[in-house]
Amino acid sequence: MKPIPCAFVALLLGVLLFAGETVATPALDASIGFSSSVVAREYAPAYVTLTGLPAGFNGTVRVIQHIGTLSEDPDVVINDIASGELENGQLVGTIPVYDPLNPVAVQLLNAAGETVAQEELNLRLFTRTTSFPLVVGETISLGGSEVRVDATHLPLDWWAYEAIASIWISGATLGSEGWETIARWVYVGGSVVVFTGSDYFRVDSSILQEMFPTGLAVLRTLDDGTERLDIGAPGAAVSEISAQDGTVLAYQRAYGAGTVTLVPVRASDMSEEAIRELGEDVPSTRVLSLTSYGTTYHGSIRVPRPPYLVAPIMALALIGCAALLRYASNERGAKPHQGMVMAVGITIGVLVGASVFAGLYTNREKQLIELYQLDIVVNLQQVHGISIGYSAFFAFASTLDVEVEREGLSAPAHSLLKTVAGAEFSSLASSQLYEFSLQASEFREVRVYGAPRQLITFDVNDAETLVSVSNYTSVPITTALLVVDGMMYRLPNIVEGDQTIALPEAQAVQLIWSVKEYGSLLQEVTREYGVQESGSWLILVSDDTRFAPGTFVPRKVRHLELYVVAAEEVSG
Amino acid sequence: MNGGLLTFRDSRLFSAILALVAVCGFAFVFSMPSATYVSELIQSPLRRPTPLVFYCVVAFSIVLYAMLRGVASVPLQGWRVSCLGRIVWQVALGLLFLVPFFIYLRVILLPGDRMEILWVALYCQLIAVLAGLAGHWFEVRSVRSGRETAALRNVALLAIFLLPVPFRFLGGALRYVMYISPFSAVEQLHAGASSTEALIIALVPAAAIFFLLAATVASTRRMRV
Repeated sequence: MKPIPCAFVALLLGVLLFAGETVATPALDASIGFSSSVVAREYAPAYVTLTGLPAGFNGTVRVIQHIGTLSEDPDVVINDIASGELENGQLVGTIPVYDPLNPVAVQLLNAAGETVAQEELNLRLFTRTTSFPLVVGETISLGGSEVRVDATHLPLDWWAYEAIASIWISGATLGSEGWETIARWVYVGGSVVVFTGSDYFRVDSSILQEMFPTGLAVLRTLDDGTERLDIGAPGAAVSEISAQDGTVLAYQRAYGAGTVTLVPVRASDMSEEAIRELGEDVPSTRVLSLTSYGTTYHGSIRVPRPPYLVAPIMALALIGCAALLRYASNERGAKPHQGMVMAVGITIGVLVGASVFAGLYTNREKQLIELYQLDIVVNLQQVHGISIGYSAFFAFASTLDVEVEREGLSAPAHSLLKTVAGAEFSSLASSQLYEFSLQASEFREVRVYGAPRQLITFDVNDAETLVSVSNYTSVPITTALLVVDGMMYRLPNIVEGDQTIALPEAQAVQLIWSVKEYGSLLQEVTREYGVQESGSWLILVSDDTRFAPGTFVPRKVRHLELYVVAAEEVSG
Repeated sequence: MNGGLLTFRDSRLFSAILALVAVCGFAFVFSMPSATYVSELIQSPLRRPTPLVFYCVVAFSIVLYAMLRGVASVPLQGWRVSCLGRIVWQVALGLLFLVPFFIYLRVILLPGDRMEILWVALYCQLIAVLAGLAGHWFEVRSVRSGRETAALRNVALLAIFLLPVPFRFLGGALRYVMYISPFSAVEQLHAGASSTEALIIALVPAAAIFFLLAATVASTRRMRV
C-alpha cells in the first residue's frame, strides 16, 4: 500500500472518529417490569440506560403513562425517576403501573424541559393479571408462570417487588444491597425461597443468616452425589416442608410478616415434581394493607361547622334594620334628606355589624375545610427499617390542586377503583413531591412505601426498671408503649431528644388494643411482626390533627404515625 | 313611594326587602355543612353544602324583586331619568341587605383567595338592574295599551332562567347560549369562569340594559313629539 493513500485513510478514520465523538447524541434504552412483566396498579421497576450524554448533563428521566382510552383525552401520569446531573449508565427507578394496555413513554429531558431522547414501550403483551413468581439465577420451572431475571437486574427498592408472589433464588450471587432489599421485602410480607446445596456458600450472607439463622451448617454428600445442607439444630420457629415420601424438601421460618424457605439442595438437584410440591407450600406475598384502616380513620375526621343559628339571626337582624329604616322614613315631620341620611347610616351600621359578627367566627376551626386529608405511616424499625404509608384525600367543594411532600418515600400509587366517576388521575411525581388534581367531592387514596431512617433507639436496663429512649422524630408522640417479652409498660409522654424513664407497672400486652381508635391497627401490626411474642419493642404513636398552616387551600390533616422499634437483641 | 328618591316609606318596598331577606336567609342554610364526620360528606351528596343554592336563589329572587320594583315605579311618575336612579337605588338597597350573607359566605364558608363571590354579587346587581328596567318597560307598555302584561312578564322571566340551561349540553359556540340564564351564569362564576366566559356573562345583561334604555328613550321621545 502506498504511503499517501494510507495517510489519507488514517486521516479519514481520525476525522470520522473525532466526528463520532462530537456528534454523539443522547439516547436511552428503557424497560419496565421484571423481564417486562407487570401487574396493573402494582409497582414495577423501571430500567433506563443512558448513553451519549455529555459531561455535566442536567436533565430529567421521565416516565409518562396514560390512563383511559388514548383517543378520549386520557389522564396523564408522570413519574420522574431521576433528575439533576445525569451520567451515562443504567438508572433503576420504581413506578406504579396504571394502565399497561396503553404504551408507556420514557423520555430524557434537558434542563430546558425539551425532549432529548424518547422510547415508547408496549407492555400490553407482558401484562399479568395476578402476582407471579420471580426466579433469580438458575432456571427453575414453576409451571410457566415464573419470570426469570439475572441477579444484577434486581431493583433495590423493596416495593418494586409488590407484584411478585415469591422470589426463588438459586445459584445467584447477590450483593449485600440486593439481599438487604429482599430482606426488607420479606419483612414486610414477602416470600423468598433460597436453594442452597453446593451453592450454599454462594448464597450465604449475613443478611440471609439474619433472615434464617441456622445452626452449624455443613454440607453432606448423599449416596447419589447430591450435596445437601445440614442446617444444624433448627429453632422452634422453623417448620419442615416434607415431600409425600417423607423427605424434607425445605425448612420454613417467618421473618417479620413474611416467610423464608430454605431448601437444602440446589434447584438442579430437585425433580420438577418436588419443586412443584414445594411451590404449594410457599405462601404468596401479603404486604400489610392500610386501606381499610385509612378509610375508617379518614371518615372519622370531624367536619368543622359554623352554627346554623347564624342564618336566622342574620336574617332577623337585617329585617330589624329594614323595620328601623322604615320607621325612620315614616317619622312624622321627617324630611326626605333626613330619611336618606338615616337609611345610609343604618345600612352602613348593618354592614359593619354583620362583618364584625362574621369576623367573630373567623378562626381556623370554624372555616369551611376544602380538603380533608389523612396520612398514616407505619414505620417498622427492626434490623431493616421499612415504612408503609397511606393517604386519603377528600375535596369538599371545588376542584383542588394537591401537593404532598414525599421525601424518602416511593412515587405514590393512586387508587383507581374506589374513586367516584369523573375523577382525573393525572399526576406528577418527582423526587421531592407529588401533585395531582382532585375534582369536587372526589375521594382519592394513595399508597407509598419507603425505608425510614433510624430515628428512634431505646435500651431497657437489666432490672427492667428504666428505659432510655432517643427520639429524633419531629412528630409529637401521643402514646408510648414498651413491650418486653409479652408484658407491656405504658410510658409517659416521650419528647424529642434523649430521656430516661422509670418503668411503671407492667400490664398484659392485650391491653394494647384498648389504646384509642388505632388499637386495631396496632393489633394487626404487632401480630404480624411478632411484637407480642418475645423481645423488647418500643411502640410510639403520633396522632395529630391540625389545620394545615400556610396552605392556600383550607386543609384539615390528620397525621397518624406509628413507630414499632425492636431492641437490637431481637434481631438475633 | 312618595317623597324623595332615597327614602324608605313605600310599604311595598319594605315588604319586598323582608321577603328577599327571608328567602335568601333560608337558602343560605344550604351553604352550611350539615355533616359531622367526613364519612357523611363522602357517602351522602345531600350533606355536601354548596353556595350554589344560595347564589341561584339570590339571582332569582333579586331579579324578581327588581322586576316588581320596576313595575311599581311606573304609575307614579312615568318614565324619567330619575326612574333609572330609583330602580338602581332599590336594587342596590335590596342587595345591600344581602351583603352580610355574602360577607359571611366569603369569610367563613369560602375562605381563601377567591373572587367569585364578588363577581356573583356584581352580576346579580347587573341582572337586577336589567330586570328592573324590563319590569318598568313591560308596565309602561301595559299602561299605554291598556292590556295586562303580568303573565307575559312572568313567562319571560321563567323562560330566561330555564330555557338556555339545556344549551350546556351542546358543543361549540352554541354552548355559550346557556349564559343567558342567570342560573348557568352564577354556576359558571362560582366554578371559575374563563375570561371569555366572564365577558359573555357580563355582556349579555349589559347589552340588554343598553337596548332597553335606548328603546325606552326613543319611545319617550316619540311620545313627546
